[in-house]
Amino acid sequence: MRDDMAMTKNVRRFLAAVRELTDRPMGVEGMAILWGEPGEGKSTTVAFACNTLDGIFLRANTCWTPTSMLSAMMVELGMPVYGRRAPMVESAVKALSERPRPIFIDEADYLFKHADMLDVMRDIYDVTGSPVVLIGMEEFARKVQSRGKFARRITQWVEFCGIDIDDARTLADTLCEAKVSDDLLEHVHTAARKNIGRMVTGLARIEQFGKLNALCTVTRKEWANRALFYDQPRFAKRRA
Amino acid sequence: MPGIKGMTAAAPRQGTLRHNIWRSMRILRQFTVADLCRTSGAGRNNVRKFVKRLEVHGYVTQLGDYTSGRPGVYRGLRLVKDIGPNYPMRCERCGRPLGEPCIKNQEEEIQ
Repeated sequence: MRDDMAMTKNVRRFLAAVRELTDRPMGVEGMAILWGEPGEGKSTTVAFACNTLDGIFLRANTCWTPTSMLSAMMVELGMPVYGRRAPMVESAVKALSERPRPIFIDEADYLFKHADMLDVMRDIYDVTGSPVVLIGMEEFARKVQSRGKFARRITQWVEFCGIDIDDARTLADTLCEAKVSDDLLEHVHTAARKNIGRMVTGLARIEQFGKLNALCTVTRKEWANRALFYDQPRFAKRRA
Repeated sequence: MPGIKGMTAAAPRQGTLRHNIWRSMRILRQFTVADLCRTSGAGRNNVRKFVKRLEVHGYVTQLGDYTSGRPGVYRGLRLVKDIGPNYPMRCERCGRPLGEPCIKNQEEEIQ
C-alpha cells in the first residue's frame, strides 16, 4: 500500500473551505464547521490540513473553562501561560496578528458548556481575523445553528459523509499498488458500507492477492468470494 | 547531560517533516506509521526512524492486538508523553540525544 493521502471529495471540500477562509476578501466572515460520523476520516484530514496550513490544533474537553482554553492556546503558540485571562487574550491576539494561523478546535461541543468560551473565541477571531474551524458531531452543528450571533460568523459548513464510487476509485488508485477492476471495486464499496477505513483494509487484501498471483488487474471473478475484512465470525444459534 | 559545560540542546526547527510528524502524533494520539506518512508528507523510513527513537525514550508506546502479516493492518502506536508543540531533541529522563539509547530505561530493565 502506498502512504499517500487520498484526495476524496470530503478532503478536497474541507481543504478548499479552509483555504477560502484564509484568502477571504474583506467583510467576509472566517469561521467554519466540520461535522461527521466517527470513522469518516475527520481526524486524518484535520491533521493533514494542520500540517499543510501550519494550523493550531486544540482539543476541547469536558473540564475546559475559558482560562484552560486560553492556556492550551498559549502552549500551542509557544507563549508563557498566565493565571488570568486578559493577559493571555492579549498575548494570543498579538501572536496571531503578527502571524495569522487557522485554529482548529476538535470536540467543539464542549465550548457550548460555557458561554464565556464562545465569547472569548469570538473576541480573538474578531480582533485577529484568524480562521477558526470547529469540529464535532452532527448535533453540534445543530446547536451552532441555534445560536444566531455565533452562526452568523460561520461561512463554511462542511459535512463528512460516506464516500461514493468515484471516491472509491480515487482511493484505490492512490493507495493500492495492484489495479482493481470496476466490478470488484463496486463489491468492496458495497461490502464496506461506504466506510473509508474498511475500504482501505479490503484494498490491502486485494493488493496482496494480486501480488501473490502476479495479476496486473484483480477482477471480481478472480477474487471470487474471498473475505475482504477481518470480521469476527457470526455463530448461528445451536438447535436443541 | 554529556557535552561541554553550559551547552544547551539545539532548538527543534519549525516547518520540517519531523515537526509535521510530531504534530500529527499530537493530533491523532493513536496512530500507525502509515497514518503519520499520509498526514505529514514524510517518507516511511523517516517516520519509522523518528518513531523508533521516541519509543526507545518512552514518548511513544505500542498498542496491543497486532497480528503481523495481515495486509492493511499496521502496528498501533500511542503518544504517551506530550511535551508541547516542539518535538523532543533530548530525552527528558536521561538527557541524551534521541538517537542514543536511553540509560534510564536500561537501568530499570537491569533492576
